[in-house]
Amino acid sequence: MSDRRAAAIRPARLEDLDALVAFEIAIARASFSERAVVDRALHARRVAAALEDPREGTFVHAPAGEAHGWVWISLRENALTGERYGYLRSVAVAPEAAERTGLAQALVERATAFATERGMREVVGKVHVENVAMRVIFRETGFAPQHLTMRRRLAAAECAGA
Amino acid sequence: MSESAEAAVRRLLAEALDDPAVVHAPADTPLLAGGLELDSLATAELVVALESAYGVEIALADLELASLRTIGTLAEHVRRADAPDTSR
Repeated sequence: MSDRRAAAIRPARLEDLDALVAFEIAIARASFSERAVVDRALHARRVAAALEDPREGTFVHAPAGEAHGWVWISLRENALTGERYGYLRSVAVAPEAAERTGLAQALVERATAFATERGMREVVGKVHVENVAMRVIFRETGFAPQHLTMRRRLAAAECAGA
Repeated sequence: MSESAEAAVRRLLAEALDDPAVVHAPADTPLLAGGLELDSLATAELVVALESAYGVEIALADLELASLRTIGTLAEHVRRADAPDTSR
């Protein structure tokens, strides 16, 4: 990662909110396609709350003021084991961002550093199997698959109340 | 597949990078960091192009995306997927 690029990654602020909501909606579409939640007000409330919460790591790449990259990580605790970990919720880079190559990785590294600095020893994240771009970013930043989500589509006749 | 798997991979890479020299790059050239420096979006587009043009499965068949390490590993993945099933 270039020093210049790292220097342009800073904590997200309320003034970034419009750009962050657009990123969240783009991520929802990439992850859930037709079932994506695209309610701007809902995303704005969630992101604005995170900006105020010290357990949430929210960073943007904004070399010229406007956010062209976004990463969001939450600090969580396993209810059964008590183990604390970072949950990588969002990674996005705007199509118009300069120096795109490696930018998403730089954002993931910044989020990982946020977790490490707060004592986390593990970071996890979810990605749709068809989202190869994000899977490449995970692979390039040292993540490996751990769980598989299994889904069986039910025919209408199998659904109660159908 | 009329052209070899490796030729197909090299041709698609040359198109993605707009660099005909990729056709002659060593097979152990990394596709991403330290090699061709494909970014994540370009890599995803390459995967989609290979899957749709040659019917190979990468996203679902290679959970660790290990086939995307080098030109050679990707060509090998495409070659295996294209080979007739002789296991039974």
